[in-house]
Amino acid sequence: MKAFQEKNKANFCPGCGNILIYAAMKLALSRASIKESDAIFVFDVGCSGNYADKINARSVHTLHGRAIPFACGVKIADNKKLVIVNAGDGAVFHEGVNHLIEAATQDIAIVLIVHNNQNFALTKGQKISKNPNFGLNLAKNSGAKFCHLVEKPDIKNLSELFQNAFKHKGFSYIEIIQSCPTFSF
Amino acid sequence: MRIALKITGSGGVLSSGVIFLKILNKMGLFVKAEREFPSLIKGGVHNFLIDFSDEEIFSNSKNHDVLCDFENSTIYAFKEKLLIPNDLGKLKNTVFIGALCAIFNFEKNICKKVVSEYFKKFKEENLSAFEIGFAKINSEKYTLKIRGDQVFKKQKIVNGNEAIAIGAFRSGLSHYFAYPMSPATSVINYLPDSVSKMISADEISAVSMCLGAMYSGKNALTATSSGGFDLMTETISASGIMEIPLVVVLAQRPGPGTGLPTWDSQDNINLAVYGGHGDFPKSVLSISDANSAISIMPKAFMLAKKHRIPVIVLTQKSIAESYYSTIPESKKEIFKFLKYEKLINADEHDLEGNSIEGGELARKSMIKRMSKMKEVIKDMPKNVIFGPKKAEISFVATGSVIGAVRDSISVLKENGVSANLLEITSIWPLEKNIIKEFFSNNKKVIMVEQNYTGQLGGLIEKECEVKFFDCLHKFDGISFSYEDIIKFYNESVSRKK
Repeated sequence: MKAFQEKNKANFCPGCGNILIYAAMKLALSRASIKESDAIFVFDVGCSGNYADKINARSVHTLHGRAIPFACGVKIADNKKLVIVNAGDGAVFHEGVNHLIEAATQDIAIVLIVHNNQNFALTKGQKISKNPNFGLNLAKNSGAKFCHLVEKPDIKNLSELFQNAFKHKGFSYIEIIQSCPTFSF
Repeated sequence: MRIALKITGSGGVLSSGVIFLKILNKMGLFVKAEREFPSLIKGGVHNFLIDFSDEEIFSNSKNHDVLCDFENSTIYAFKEKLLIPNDLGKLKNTVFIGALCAIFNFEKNICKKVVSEYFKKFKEENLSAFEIGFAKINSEKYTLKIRGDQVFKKQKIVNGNEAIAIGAFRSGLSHYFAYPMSPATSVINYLPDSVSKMISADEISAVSMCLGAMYSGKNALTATSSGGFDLMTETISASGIMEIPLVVVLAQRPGPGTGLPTWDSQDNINLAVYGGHGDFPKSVLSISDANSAISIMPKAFMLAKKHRIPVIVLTQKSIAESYYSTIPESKKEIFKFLKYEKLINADEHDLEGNSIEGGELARKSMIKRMSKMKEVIKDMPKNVIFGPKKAEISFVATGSVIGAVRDSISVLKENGVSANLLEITSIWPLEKNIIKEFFSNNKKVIMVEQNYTGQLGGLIEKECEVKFFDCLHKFDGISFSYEDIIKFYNESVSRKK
């Protein structure tokens, strides 16, 4: 099977915003000619995290909120690897918010993709209490130099942004506002 | 011959203690020293307990032969009160060292060399302060001349946390992540420059980074204390299901809560054995002194990497803040380990790592992981017996208590009582046969441990279906002395006659 292809059938809701984000990520990986052995994918827990065993890649499905420090450990130990974290707003803004601050402050060169569907979807749509620019401001104020909030994602703008993030030498923060067809109202 | 020295005061106690240890080492004497101090940066009462002998000793005494009181400028030497000049400000401590060297009839030039090597600044001032102290004592009055043999002269003074660092480096350590917490903090100070060190945002971050680095095929370590370990348990459990090796040093201090940050306990044995949600294979080892730390750390890494399990190494404040005479082993003992290529999953998964739901596959995955424990137990260090196989009175102990019990056994022997000790280094999984055999050979077995509920004793009784003759529990934060154990022995035996 080719690198980064779908190994198992994805189980997102029809119309889920994650589908677009992962399509753009895979496009960016292929455009940037990243080899399977050169990239490590760290997934948090949540809808976005359920993609961990769907992609044919070296991936790790960690605990809720702990994808960022795990990825930092991987990057510190093996600097040559491209380390990509996929996590939701529940993981990055709530459960593991201190890890976002640490990764940005220490400028550890991981690529953090925040799938912001504005709710805790996997536990059936509890509302998130953070304001719209919370993550972006936090990452910026913690010293992250590569920070982007994508409010209207499309495959072109996202995949280009991801390619730039892959090239960035420090910590990269990309937050995507995604639709949640089941719990967005 | 054994001498117990105590240095007490509110400033300069540590440096004076360390200098005097170096002098004792030069005299070829075997030492065991421990620091007692409050959770403060300046002020409060600090104690430096130094026991030294021309034979091997393992613990610090409760009583003293010589007491240096910095606050009152007094030395009580063998029950005699000596006043020391106190108008020398910060140099006062060196005056004390001079006086001590004269009391023990140490060669002045050797001692002065140690003092001059220690002080990079104010060398001349300290040397003249040493002379003042040395001249103050009429050394003809003190005829004691204690010197060690040639073997001891090759030894170094090694701190307990330093020994953990030496042991970890022997295992091929390349990364260290930690959040500072007494008494585990100082491990970082003793690691060589070739090890990458990072102070993380918190213990959760430290242990997660460790796990990430281990996933990358590197040797990583974190050390923490009681409350910090509480925060780590979630990741330790994850290490169990993800089957990524992990080594965590747990330096015990009296809990609960913030507890007594700078004092001693063994009340995290349950936490180490039972900590972390769910059933997963793990190993818990315990160190008892510098030598055991140096030899056990490579075993911890071997167990973790060979079986892909979390390994917890227990230590405690009275080891972390103690100094030991030892010849540190520096030979590398690196266990080779392959990097992961497949999916790693903290969700329950099949053999390929794919997430699964409840049912037969989940049952099989659990059995596959838990069956590792049968293999782990074969690779655990053996728990050994100190003293004869059979004895009138027997003890079981772990950690730094082992040292105190060993010393009490030699005192009992002098009094015509034969005693032995089962030293528990491998706490989990527990090798039952050795313990059962020890109980069948010895009728009066006493458990000695430093917690309120008898955590290790309870575990042994439950696992091995044995019953202790008596238990000695200490939970005041002060480490065991051999006098405590002798006193308990006398009371226990007369009480149960």
